[in-house]
Amino acid sequence: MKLKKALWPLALLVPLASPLLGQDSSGNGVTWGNFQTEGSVTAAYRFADVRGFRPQYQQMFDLFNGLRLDDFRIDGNAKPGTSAFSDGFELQATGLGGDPFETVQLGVTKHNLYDFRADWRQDHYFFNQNDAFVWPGGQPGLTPNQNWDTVRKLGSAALTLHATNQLRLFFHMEHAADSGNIYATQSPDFLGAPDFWGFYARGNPFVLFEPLRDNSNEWLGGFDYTDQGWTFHLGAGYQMLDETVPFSNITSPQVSIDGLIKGNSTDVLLNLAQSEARRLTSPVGDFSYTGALTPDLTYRGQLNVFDFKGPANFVQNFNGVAPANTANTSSITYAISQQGTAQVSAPEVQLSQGLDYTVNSWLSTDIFYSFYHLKSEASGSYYSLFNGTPTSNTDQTDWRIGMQNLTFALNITPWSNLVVRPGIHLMKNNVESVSGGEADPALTLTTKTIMPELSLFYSPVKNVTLRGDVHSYDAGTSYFAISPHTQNGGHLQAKWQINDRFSLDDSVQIQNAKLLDTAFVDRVRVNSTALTFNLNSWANLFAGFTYDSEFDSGQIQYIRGTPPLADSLREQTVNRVIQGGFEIKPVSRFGVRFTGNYDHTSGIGQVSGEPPSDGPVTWPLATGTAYLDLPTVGRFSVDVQRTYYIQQIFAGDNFSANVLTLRWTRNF
Amino acid sequence: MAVTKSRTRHLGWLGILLFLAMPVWAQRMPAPSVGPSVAWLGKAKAPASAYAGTATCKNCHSARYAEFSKTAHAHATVAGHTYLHGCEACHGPGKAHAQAMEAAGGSDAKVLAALKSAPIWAFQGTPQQNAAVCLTCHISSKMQEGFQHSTHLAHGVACQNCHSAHLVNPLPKHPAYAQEAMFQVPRLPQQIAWLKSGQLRAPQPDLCFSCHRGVQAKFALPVHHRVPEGLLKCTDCHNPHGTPQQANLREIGWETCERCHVEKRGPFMYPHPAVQVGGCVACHNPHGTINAFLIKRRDTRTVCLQCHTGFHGQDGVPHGRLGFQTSGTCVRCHAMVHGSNFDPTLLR
Repeated sequence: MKLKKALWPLALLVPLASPLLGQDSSGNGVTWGNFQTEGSVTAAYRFADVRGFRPQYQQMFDLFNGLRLDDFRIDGNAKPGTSAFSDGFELQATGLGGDPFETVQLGVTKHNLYDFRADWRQDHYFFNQNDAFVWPGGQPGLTPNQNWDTVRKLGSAALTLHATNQLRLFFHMEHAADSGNIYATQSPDFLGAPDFWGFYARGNPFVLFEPLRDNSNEWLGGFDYTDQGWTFHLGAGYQMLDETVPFSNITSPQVSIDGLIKGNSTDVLLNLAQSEARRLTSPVGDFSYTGALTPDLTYRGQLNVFDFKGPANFVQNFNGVAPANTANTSSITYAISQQGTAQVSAPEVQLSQGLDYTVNSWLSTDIFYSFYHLKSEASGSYYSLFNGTPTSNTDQTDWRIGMQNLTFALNITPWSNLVVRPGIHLMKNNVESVSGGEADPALTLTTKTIMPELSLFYSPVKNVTLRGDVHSYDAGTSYFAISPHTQNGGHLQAKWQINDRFSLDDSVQIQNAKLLDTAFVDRVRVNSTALTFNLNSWANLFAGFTYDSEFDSGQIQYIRGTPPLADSLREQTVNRVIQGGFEIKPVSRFGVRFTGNYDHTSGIGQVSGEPPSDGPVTWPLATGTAYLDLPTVGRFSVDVQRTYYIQQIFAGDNFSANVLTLRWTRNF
Repeated sequence: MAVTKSRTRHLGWLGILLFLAMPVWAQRMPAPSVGPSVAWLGKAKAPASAYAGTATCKNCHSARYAEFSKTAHAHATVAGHTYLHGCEACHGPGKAHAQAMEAAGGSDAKVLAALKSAPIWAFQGTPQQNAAVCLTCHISSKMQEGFQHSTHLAHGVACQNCHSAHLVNPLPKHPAYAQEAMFQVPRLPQQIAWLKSGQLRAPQPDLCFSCHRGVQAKFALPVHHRVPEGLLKCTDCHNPHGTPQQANLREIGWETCERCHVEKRGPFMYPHPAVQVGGCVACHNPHGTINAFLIKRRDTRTVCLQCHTGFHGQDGVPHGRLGFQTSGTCVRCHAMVHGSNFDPTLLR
């Protein structure tokens, strides 16, 4: 089956290439009808030897044995005056035959008349942590217990028609889909559950099988019109999302994933059948304009509109055995059915206006205002039946979010090697949440922020550049505990082109943030250094090192449990990333290349002084390549690759892998 | 016949060797997914008699002209503008420059004097001035109209820092980065990559990484969007020419993320307020992390507990202290963490 999957793209593309391969080369590439074409094809065979926890390798690489069409590419340009319908075309396909990322891209163009492009790409996503691994502290199953084996497919087609120089028409279509198998967890909670049920169900999730199918499509058409120094852009279209997810138990009887819960082996789920579906549709509107009111004064604006709305519904039936009281001294058999329907709607608009005034050759001003508003309204009705006892409920939730931004900036460019841009950014954010007709004070807040900012470019000499920025803000409070109310930070980047062959650059980021209400502190420190050296036409190398640290600490407040109920959390992550490589081509037909990354992450997270569940991680990967160019035959490459992944506390996902790939590339 | 076949074969070998010797750049999907929509808006900066014509420029700048002639710029003109196209559309009228250079006769001192007495616009002005020339026409493009106000230009990054109209100054060559090599991302001949990808000096993400080194390191962490592997490009999410959104995101609100992650799209009956107000980046680091699902913190519970801690009048942590090690991550029960239509506590 895998071989068949690997061969079909070859079967499709090789016949396409074969007439080209058979033609005489003359000048650049070969002639195909009225087109002068050139291109290449690369076929590969890979051998992979994976040891350790194979799903983690699959998540990070998913590169396995087999024949692949690494790349097929053909580009054609019409001979002058010979092709009435097109000046050129291009087709490229990569990763076909079983690799995780497959792409196809097609383009056909006629200068000043039309441009058509179509893209297709697939992303195979795999996630499966080692749920059976027992932590050093003796706890099993702290992982999410969720597994993915899905494919995300993204496609688009875009046609631009140049009706006249002033008027361009465009038509876009985008498609996004996600499908595949998911094993996810769900707690057997239900509407109107008695108090004793919460102690059992809400901490006792079961793994369910959820074959996923999502489809989203967007169609958009419009025009760009330019006249008298003004350009207007208008796009209008329609977007839709369809989602259906059925759920079912994976065995019967089935125990929950929480093996430490008392009665876990007897409190079983016997059968579960659930179906969820929703459909969202929205008109899409996009209008913008820009132009000059006077030679020194330009004006611009933009309006974006969405209005997603639609129904959602679910039906669930499940039965099993559960505790009959909070002390778990007896059990009951249960049968539960519940259903719900909801209708959601969220009109969303963003409006912006900007004004530039050029004072003189070295000074200009920029004023920009934007307004965003979201009004989300939803209503739902729910019903459940627990061992013959019905419960029903209706609910209404509304959200109103308004954000306003005003920016004033000066652009100061006294010399060609200096740009200074001081500015001030004012933000106002209104969030109002209404549930059951009443505003929720915990979710309703207005914040006002003043943020001065400064950006800078300076090139003291031709081969040295400095770029940076600093900002500082104090919002007085914050909507989330995760986002601080004060922040000070900045970046600085220096580049030094020492000579034609040798360049060195370094960038620094520093950020300090606080939220006084929860004593939350966040500190970011990043430094990256990179060096590139082109010794000559046949040898070059690069090397880079990044230190990336983020430290957080804060207080948390429990509402129940073992005192003290006021406690703390603390976390630090330090990533050290080394990247490097070299390439040497001592003779015209033979070359070698080595390239690698070495990641090491240290630092730990602690909640309420508990032992950390995740520790340092080391992840190196390297590829060594040797290639030989043979006249008329093409290039043969051998890639030898090595990687391993080691976590020190949670060692259940560790793996190592050796990969050998043989590749043949033929240009035509 | 035999001689012709032999010559053809030798030319073929030579072509292959030259082709293979060219510097190459990696890209799975080199061309933008939408074609350009730019109006030709050339402005006369002098009378027609001040223009020399492209044929004159070509006499001295033949290598640049050869590359330029393959680009869309070479075809950019409209009827009635007989002199406002080709080199002088961007570099300005060049007749005085051509005549002065011809009069200099190759003498270095005279050439220098000629360049001073009859200068040609060579994009050596301020970043704003350099960009303004390109924006003469490119301001008519929806994707580029915001560049004059962009964070890139505010940091002195003008058009020619990323784009090259003549392929005369590509970025320094380097071997493939590790993930690119591991996934055998195809490498295109430099000229083809340049022509396909908006005449960038290097394809994405190399070009962006040449300044954004910290972001490059994030993409080298175990969990990341597949940019180094060539599946995604920086411009899938960002518009480097500037947008009203933070970080130059292409779309408003969470639309950028939901273009691909369609299953996360709201509205929901019970949205997660963090997503509703803070967007996806409230909890995720989109470039890369060491953590599953691109979560910001090493221990995913920390992300939840930073907010669900009695802050802002809300209840405290709704589970018992010291209960977390036996309960695992919060999303084991609160599986609908992005929003639910059926349960306010996001359990189903």
